[in-house]
Amino acid sequence: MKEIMEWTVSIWNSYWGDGYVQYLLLIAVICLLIWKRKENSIRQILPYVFTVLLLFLCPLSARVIQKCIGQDVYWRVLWLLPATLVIALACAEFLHIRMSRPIRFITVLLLTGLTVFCGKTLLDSGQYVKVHNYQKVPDEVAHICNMIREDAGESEVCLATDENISPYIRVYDPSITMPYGRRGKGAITKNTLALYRAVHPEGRVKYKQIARLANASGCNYLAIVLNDRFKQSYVEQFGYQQIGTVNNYGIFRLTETES
Amino acid sequence: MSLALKGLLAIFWLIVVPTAAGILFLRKKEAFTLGECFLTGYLFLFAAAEIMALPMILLHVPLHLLVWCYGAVAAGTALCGIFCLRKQTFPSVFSVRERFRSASPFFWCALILIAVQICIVVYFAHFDADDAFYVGTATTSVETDSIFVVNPYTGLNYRNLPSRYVLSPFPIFLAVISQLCAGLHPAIMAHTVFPPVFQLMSYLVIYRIGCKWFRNNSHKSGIFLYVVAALNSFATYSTYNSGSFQMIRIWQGKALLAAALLPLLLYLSLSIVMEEKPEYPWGLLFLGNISCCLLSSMGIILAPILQGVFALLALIRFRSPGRFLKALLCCLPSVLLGIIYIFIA
Repeated sequence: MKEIMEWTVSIWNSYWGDGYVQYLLLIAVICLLIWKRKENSIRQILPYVFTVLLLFLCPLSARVIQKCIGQDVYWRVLWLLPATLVIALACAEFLHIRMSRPIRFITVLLLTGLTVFCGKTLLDSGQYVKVHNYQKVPDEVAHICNMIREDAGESEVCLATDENISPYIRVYDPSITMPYGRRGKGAITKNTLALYRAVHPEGRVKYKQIARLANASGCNYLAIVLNDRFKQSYVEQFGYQQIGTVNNYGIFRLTETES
Repeated sequence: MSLALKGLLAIFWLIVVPTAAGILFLRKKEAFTLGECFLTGYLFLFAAAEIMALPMILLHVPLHLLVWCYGAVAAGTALCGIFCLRKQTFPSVFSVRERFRSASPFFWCALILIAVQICIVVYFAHFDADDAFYVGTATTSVETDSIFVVNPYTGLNYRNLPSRYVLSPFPIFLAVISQLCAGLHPAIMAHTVFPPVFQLMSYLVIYRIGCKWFRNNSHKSGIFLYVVAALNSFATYSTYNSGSFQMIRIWQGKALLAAALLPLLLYLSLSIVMEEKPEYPWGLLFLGNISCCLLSSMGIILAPILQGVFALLALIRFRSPGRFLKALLCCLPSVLLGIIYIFIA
């Protein structure tokens, strides 16, 4: 019981992150309860809000819901909480009190400032970037796929690469197969599992090992980050020839299968 | 076919068809708006996609068959909707000029904010590794003309059906719409076309809630819409809240669930379960439940929780076992899918 409560509280804190919107919600609920509790809209929505909060915080219901959806994503229950709607409802109710236009305008400005302070803007959050492909994958993924497809023509392509770009390869070009996907998912043989670990080592990158395992896994293309220690001979001895580079990535094609 | 023509097809299948289809379900109402038609149409189309896709997934039917079936159902329903548009409802549906005349300055500020948000999501890109599965499933389905046969991570055949995702095949909906738009790349559809359409959907829901709560008071509903838009603009204080999901990755099923379908289900529950005289047919609540199931496995759990809470509140308020049972019956699709999930898993 105590563990569930602690997890629930940590989930609650994570959900609100760096912002203070939960305090805006609290102020909105208190104001609506004190001054507007007889309004039909408030009498409909506030009982729902309290019930959802109760379901979220109560250890018994929390345990049942966590069994259904998983403990790690329990925060998604808070999607049922209409925080934005309640805050907006309170603002709409109180901003419409008789006040002159200039005062109302200043109040709206202050409210907007409060929203800015309590939140974080889209563009500042670093979530958006400009790209130059219609599919909106990282540009280097598009360049790598285009380079490989131009080189391979109509032939089948099996590409081994790292976690930075592997999630987007088949989003851009689904004709390219891979020995493993994001976080190694889909790797079904010993070689492909070992290849994933070799491409994402805890210590030094071993290019010879990567090339050997990629060859054994049936990968006819490689896209790996090249560091100062890299030498062409490391991959050439396993049949790979470099066909180009995209940023830090070296792109290699298998010219002969290891005998 | 050029990108511009594919874009026009996208407008047809994602805006015109749902709006026309929605008329069919609102025809008995005295008056209704284009926005209500749009939302109702999507409830039907999402539910239809879920009902058609599930047996086709289990029977390993090729994707193109699902495309034809969905296309026929959507187009047919849209045509029926247009035929149902009676002379007396036509003026009320298209009375946009009057509504704009009576709109408050806050409404216009809200529209500007929403337009800026839509420009950001269309012009810029957000990279999300979850696309490896969701958009990857759509591109894989289109490439191989199959549904959940090929693993999107590798391009090799699945050993077993991915039980967690099979019951909520929203990526397949993406694949179907891409094919209906003359083969527009699913990644372009997901990242450039879906966001403005679903942002519009989300704000239409908010607008409808505002209209409900502040009947005939355009100032209050304008302030309401403005504050919601402002809060969403600054929602990226965490990556977990629904505003952040809406702004950053609305093309994914779970984000659309959080941003539009759960608020729509809330609106329908307020308008049907919590009203003395329901403002919409009960069937819409049933369709809403199925729609949530299409979008995400979260929908299979969260939709009945939402509806269950309102059923309980209605029982306390109206003391009507009949109303309580009707509300619970609308949760039946989630319950059935939950049981199926347990068997598959």
